[in-house]
Amino acid sequence: MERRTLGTVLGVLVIVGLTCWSAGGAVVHPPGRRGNPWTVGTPSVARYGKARRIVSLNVGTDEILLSLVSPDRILAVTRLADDPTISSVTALAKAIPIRAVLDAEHVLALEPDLLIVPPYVRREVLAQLEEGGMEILRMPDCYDVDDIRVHLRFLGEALGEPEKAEALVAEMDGTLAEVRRRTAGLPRPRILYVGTNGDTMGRGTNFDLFVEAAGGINVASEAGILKRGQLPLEKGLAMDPDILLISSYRGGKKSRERPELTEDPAWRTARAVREGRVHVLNGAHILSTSHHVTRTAEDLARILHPECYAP
Amino acid sequence: MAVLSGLLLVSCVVAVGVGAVPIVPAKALRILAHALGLGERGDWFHYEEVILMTVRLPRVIVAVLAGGGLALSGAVMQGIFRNPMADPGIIGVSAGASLGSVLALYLGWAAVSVLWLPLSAFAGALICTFLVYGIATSRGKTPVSTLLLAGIAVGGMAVSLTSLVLFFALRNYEVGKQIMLWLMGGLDGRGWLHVRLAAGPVLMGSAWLCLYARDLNVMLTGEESAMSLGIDVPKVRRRLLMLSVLVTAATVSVSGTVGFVGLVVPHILRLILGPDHRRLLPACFLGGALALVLADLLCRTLAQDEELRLGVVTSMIGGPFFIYLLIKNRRRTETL
Repeated sequence: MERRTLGTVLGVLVIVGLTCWSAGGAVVHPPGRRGNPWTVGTPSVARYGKARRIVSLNVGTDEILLSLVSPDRILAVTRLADDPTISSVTALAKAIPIRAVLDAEHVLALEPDLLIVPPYVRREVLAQLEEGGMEILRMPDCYDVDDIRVHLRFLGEALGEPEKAEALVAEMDGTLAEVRRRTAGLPRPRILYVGTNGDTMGRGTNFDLFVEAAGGINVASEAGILKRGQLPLEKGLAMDPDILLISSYRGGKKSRERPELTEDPAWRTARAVREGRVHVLNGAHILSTSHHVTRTAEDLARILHPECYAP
Repeated sequence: MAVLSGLLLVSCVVAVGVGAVPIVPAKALRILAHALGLGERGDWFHYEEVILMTVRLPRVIVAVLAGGGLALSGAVMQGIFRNPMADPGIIGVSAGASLGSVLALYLGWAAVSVLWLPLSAFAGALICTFLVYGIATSRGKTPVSTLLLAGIAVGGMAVSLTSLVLFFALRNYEVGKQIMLWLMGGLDGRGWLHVRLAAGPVLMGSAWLCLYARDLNVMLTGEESAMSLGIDVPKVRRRLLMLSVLVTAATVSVSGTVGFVGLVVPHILRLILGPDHRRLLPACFLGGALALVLADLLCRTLAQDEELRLGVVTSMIGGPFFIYLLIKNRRRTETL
């Protein structure tokens, strides 16, 4: 390369390097991904106990907040909080006046004293909100019931409601224990969950835990599928499950009288479809990242063993 | 030039004043004046000042830098290749930037620091372009046709790798969504950090490119003619290419993939101002900046609840214009 051109390139790269170095102060360091991300109980956390204008930008935290603090401390929740196919708090959410959207201008104009954001909020938006002087709690990823317990206890501590948080954790554990008690010793049907994108939930998911608790066998786990993974149609048919499950949440689309799966020519050959054993799971429960998620275990138990819940 | 500067200034003021939260233009101007130390603090809310100074102003400046850089490097590319269809993406800059940014999002680097996404895009653009240049160069010579073909091949590979990463990323809805949004281009969330990242390379590179306006004019007359007039064509072409790539890489790294600005803006201005690069290059910077500020304004105001993506808007406006140019060009060829 010609010397002056090389000099030009290097010069510009030096400028970019210096820019990055000088911009280092704006970098927001995220909390840890799992485990104990926020060092529960430190003074930096306890200060939110007096927050009176809390804004939540995730339906999971909407659900936790509405169960944890009085509505007059909450300024805004998400629009999804009003959607019964994904939210378990539609009635409670009516008491909250504003619906927040993940937009820097919109959030800054609300002037919250505490903003709770989901893990997937973009770094640059987070940096803008920090620059605007926001107090921000960024929730880490939520993979399973253990994570939800950590989130509940942290938010309880942070918002000055640790006893309520413990009660919610106990409620979750109580639901699971009750489902296990009712279905103990019963035959275990083989079930398969089929998502709208042809995915399923295998080993290591909440669904797997709830199927086990509700007295069933998750055939996706049997087939070695880990977490949420793609389910090849042929494999799904070969599994020959006793019961097929789908979610009622359809991404905002209108619900249908008959599930799409039962109209699919390939799935129609499956024994579960032929014998009319396709059930719709409550999306607001199974997709929840709050304490409401364990209600899925009860939903499943009612499908698999309705006799346990007969009046 | 004065008209373009005036239009750009007016559009910037309007763009700073318009957004999701209504702020009266007069108040927006008073807040800006106060921030520049030209007036007393008025009766505006604190959040209005914060929105203006931390959200809208840097975003508009990024639009100016990105639009200006893309259009200017587009004009230079068209001059270098003596091809009106050339644009900065032709040698794989955009495809490389997309691959770099998609990797940063998929591997989680973008969640660690605000810097990682633009830097990965910048690095991807440079690596891809140097690869193209390396493949096309043999014994110190870089034939234009080989360069273009290498650009198509490497760009195609980068696009397919981007699709592969996207395929894996779609297992996580939010990561997949962020990748898709980046690939559609956009200026939401751009702050002072992005201004600082892009300003150096874009302004310095653009000024440097403008210094070669005379050489580009002579090169338009043909390679042999330019050589006979004392211009070392391979050397000048190499320098122009490097500078254009640096400017484009810096703009794409902060704006995502924004199509047609580098292609269409130079065309329009060439029709108005003629082919003299001494006027055309600075005008392209101003025109590109104006186009992107207005396009971003449309993105923010057309839809009620959610912003449209910048790349979508520029392509929807630029695409039909490009077709018009093709048809016009075909008719002219047919009449000759």
